[in-house]
Formats: sequence, C-alpha cells, structure tokens
Amino acid sequence: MSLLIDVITQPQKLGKLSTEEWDQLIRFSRYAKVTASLHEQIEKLGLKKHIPQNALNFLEAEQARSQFMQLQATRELHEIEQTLKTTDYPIIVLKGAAYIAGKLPPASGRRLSDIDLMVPKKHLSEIEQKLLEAGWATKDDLSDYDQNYYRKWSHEIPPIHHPLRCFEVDIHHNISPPTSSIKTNAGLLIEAATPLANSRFSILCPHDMFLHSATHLFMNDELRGGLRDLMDMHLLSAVNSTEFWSGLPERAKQLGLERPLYYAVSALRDILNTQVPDNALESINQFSPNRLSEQLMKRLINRQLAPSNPEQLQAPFTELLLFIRSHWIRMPPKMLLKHLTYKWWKNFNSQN
Amino acid sequence: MKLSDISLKELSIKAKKEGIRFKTGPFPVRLKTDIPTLIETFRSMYGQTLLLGDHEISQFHISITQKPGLLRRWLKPQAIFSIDGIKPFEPYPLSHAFPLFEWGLNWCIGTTAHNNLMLHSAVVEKNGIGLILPAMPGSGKSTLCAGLTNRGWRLLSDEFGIIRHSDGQLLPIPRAVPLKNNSIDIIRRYAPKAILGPIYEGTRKGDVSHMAPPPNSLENQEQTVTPKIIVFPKYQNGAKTHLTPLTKSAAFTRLTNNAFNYQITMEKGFQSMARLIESSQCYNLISGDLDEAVMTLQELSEQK
Repeated sequence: MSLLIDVITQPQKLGKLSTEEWDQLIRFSRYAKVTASLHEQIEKLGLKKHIPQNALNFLEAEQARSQFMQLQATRELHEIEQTLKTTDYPIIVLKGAAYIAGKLPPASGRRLSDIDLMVPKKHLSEIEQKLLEAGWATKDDLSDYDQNYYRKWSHEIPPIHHPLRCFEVDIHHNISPPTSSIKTNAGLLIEAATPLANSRFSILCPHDMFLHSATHLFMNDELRGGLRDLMDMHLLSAVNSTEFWSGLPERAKQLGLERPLYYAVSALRDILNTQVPDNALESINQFSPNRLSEQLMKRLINRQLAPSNPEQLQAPFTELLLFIRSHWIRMPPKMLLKHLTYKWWKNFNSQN
Repeated sequence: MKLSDISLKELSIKAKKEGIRFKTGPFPVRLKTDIPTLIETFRSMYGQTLLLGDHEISQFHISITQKPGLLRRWLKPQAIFSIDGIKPFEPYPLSHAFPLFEWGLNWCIGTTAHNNLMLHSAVVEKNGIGLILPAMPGSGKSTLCAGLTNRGWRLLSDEFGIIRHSDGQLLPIPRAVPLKNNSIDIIRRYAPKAILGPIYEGTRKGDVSHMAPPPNSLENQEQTVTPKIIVFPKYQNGAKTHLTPLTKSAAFTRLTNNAFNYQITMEKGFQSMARLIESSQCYNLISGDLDEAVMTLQELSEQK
C-alpha cells in the first residue's frame, strides 16, 4: 500500500504514476475507500491531464458516488433537523456527517453510508419516538436478540432509516459501549461540543473529534476501512497543529481514552508519517500497553491498515486476532462467551 | 491477440497466474481464476475479444476462486467472487462459476461505474439507429434482444444502456445474453445457429443458458451509437403484438425509474436523460410472439 500512502502524503505524485502503478493504486484505493479523495486532490492540483483515461474514468465514477452520498447525508440531516426542531437538548453529529456539516478538511471526497448522532442518554427514547412518529423505522430484519443487545449492552439504539430514502441513522448516547473496558463520560463530550452556525446540531470539539475517531477505529471489529479513518485523523490534527497536539494527551486522560490515542498516534506516525511535536509525543508514549501487546498490535494494525500486496488485501488470520481483541475489550468474558455462542449458532444455522 | 487465439490450456494457466486482461465495452477488466470450467465457457462466449497487455490498467480486478478446504473440495464445492479484497456475495456452487462471473461483473459495473448514465435496458443497433429496450426483469427483454441480434441487429448490451454524458452516445458493452427457462428453447428454435452455453439449473432466476454475443458485436465494441428509438417491451402470453407511441413525459418518468444511477449522477444524469428523451422516439410494445415483435421493431426502424 506504500503507493497509496505515497500519494496521500504527497499528492503531487498523482501526476507522475506509470500505468502499472495506476493499476495497483485503483485496487488499493477501492479497498481503502479513498478514491474520491484522490480525485479531489487531482482537481485541486490541476493534474487531470497527467492521468490515464482508464484511471480517470474510475476516479470520476467514485467522485460521483461520494458527491451523491454527501448530498444524501446533508438531506437526511436536514430532515432530522426539521423533525427535532422543537427539542432543546444538544444533538451532536459525529464522524463523516460531522466533517461535512462542519465543513472540515476530511469531508473532501469522503464517502459515508450512515449518519451518527449522539444525544444525552436521558433523551434517547424521546428522540427515537419523535423520529419513528415522523416516518423513520427500525430495520425489520433485526432479530429480537439483536434488538435487545443494542438496547441493553450497546452505546446506540438499533439503527433506523426513512423508508423513502433508506439512509441509515445511528443514534448514540456515548462513544463506547457501557460493557467496554474503555469508559467515557459522555457528559464531558457534550459539554465541550461546538454548536454549528444556523443549525440545530453541534459537533464535538477538535480534540474529542479526533479521540472519537481513534476510539471508533480501535474498538472496531477488524479495523476495516481503517486507512480512511487514519486519513481523517491526519487531516484533523493538521488544523491548528501546535495547539491541537499540546492539549490532546490531557484530554484523552480526562475521557479515559489514553489507549486508543496511543494506537492512533502510533499508526499515524508509522503509516502516514504524521508529524507529532516531541512534548505531546512524550506524554502519549506513556499511554502505551505492555511491550508484548504493543508489538503485536503494531504488526496487526500495520498489516490491516496498509497491506502491501494487492493480491492479498484481506488477511483472515490478522482479522481473526483483531476480532477477538475487539470483543475482549468490548465486554466481560462471561457475556462474551454467551454473545459469541449465539452469533456462531445463528451463522451456523443460516449456512446449513 | 484474441482470446480464441490462445489454447484453453494456456489460457487457464494465464488465468491462474497473472490473470486475463480484456476490455468489455468501456471497462478494462482483469479476471483471475483457478476454475477451468469457468475459463472454458468464458473463452467460448468471448472468443473474439482482444486481450489487453499485462501492464495495462484494469478498472475491475476480479477473482473467482474455489473455496478452500479439503472437505469443501469434495462435498458441495463452491466458487467465491471477490474484487480487491471485497467479497460482496455468498459463494455459488462451483459448477455455476460462469453465471457468478457474469452476475458479479454486472454488479461491479452497475454499483460503481457512475461516470456515465446507466439504464437497465437491452440496446441494439442497425443502420446506425440505436434502439433502447428498457425493462424490468421478467418482461422478455433478454429474449427480444437475443431475437433481434439473430436478425441482423448488432448487440450492444442485454443489460446496460450506457450513455456518455459528454455527447449522449451509447457505449456498447457486449456480453453473454442470459436466457432464462422457456426462453432457452424459444431462441434455440428461433435461431438454431446461435451459440448457447451450458444450462445452469436452479439459479436465482431458474434455469439459465447464455447466448454468446455474435463476433461482429465483440469486434465493434468500441463503436458508439446514437440513440434514436426507445421501446418499453412487455411480453404477455398470447397477446397480440401492439406498438403504441408514448409521450415524452411518460417516457422520461419511466426511464428515470428504470436507470441504475439516475439519482446518483445528479445534474449530469438529468442532462443526459433529458437529451436522450428529446432526441428519441418513444413507444410501448406489448407482444406474445417473438417473431412478430422482431418484425414490428424492424419496420419501425425502417420508417426512420
């Protein structure tokens, strides 16, 4: 993937690739879902005339798709805003939709397939009720077990969508599950959130936005699509860089997100060569796990986020280890055993 | 070099090692597979297709491999489709690897190639007249398309009406025409010379057999066509053949609902759609007889 990383970190190189390199880049960028961002860079730098037609067709197709997804997300937010106009508690837009609503650098060419919102827990059922009454619906293929799992053990309610638009909306009350070994005080996130101009919505403050992306990535089952999340963090950290880094370790401590921050920064430096000021780095390095875990995680993360062979983009064994790890930190052992047994049984039945 | 210039054995080795690169319409594709029956059918369907060099760009790198595992190889062997590490479908039975390839590649195109407007339609051409046949599954589109193709029309596509935004031209993407259930016998009787592949029983759409795209269709796949006539076909058992003009506004609405990516392509899609409808004659066709339907469309194109 060094080719993809090269053009992400030095976009000028997009104008100097051979056809063989383009052939590979198409594969890496499809896998990492960052093609439209590359197209944005090409337009910005005026490199279009240096791109072979076959590659350009692919880039333009992906750009059309990301533009449409962004339009869908913007429309959906607008509809939600209309429905929740009369409420008065904070409603925070998270991740992709937040970058778009807040016009932040990661929005450029970004794809997104759902909208993530966060509200104070005590308003969760009220907001769900309001949206359901206004036509949004829970997906009907969700089993009772899944429904119950979401409501009891997860940090979000079952996903909803409006049947006319079918754009998924996830409503959270925190950024990590209550069962997880990582516990965050959602009140602190909500308190520090920034209201958007002329909008019913807020977005997380820059530090929290970065920490949420890190937490989301390193709690995720297999770190799939992780390079794009890493790109988001890379771009977020470059806004007011010095100020940003100096306060970040302290904020991570307040929120109990030291470990995700450590992994994110380590991956950012390894993979995207992100520049981190020395004093911030020193503090962040103290959040490292024991040496064995640290070495193992580093290998898994690098293999999963930046595979080097286009013929072997998927790494089943790495994914399995990451899957085990993500579940291990997400819930206590007894609960995990019950959950996995149920999932295995369901999977076994559907296959046979 | 054409696919048919290479022996089956050599082609199978190439497919397994570096993959076969070829162009289907505007899309350069690379197919990698370790399944010999897939290559055999692939070669018999697309023999006239030119091979691309190993160092050229492919937009879709498709891999179809036999599911590993000792037991799997003996008991219900399966084929898995993947594109760049993404596996969008459940495995197919190994013997259905070719339909999996066709379906999978269509899926890749239909869900991602949004730099053009894509209609869900068959497209044929005769004397420079592009005829678009948009239809929902089950309307007899494939049968009619195969019928026309065996009466002097050039096959552009059985599935995709690809409209280039810049000039409104139809881009051919000649592919094997999947005939379903009764259509297989109908086309066998209607065109005994047509080349049909193996019959795949019990697919999602019942029994399927593919008709090979005629050689001239593959050889001229770079030749774009100006769309002139749009006919919405509907097969109705026992119905008398009936062609009725359709207002432009009705045709516009129906065609937008029929397109793969009218919404996704936004303003460009609207412009292309509007130009297409404005410059085309639009009709409804109801028919219960393939021969009559083909002759009706033949007469219609000659009036132009």
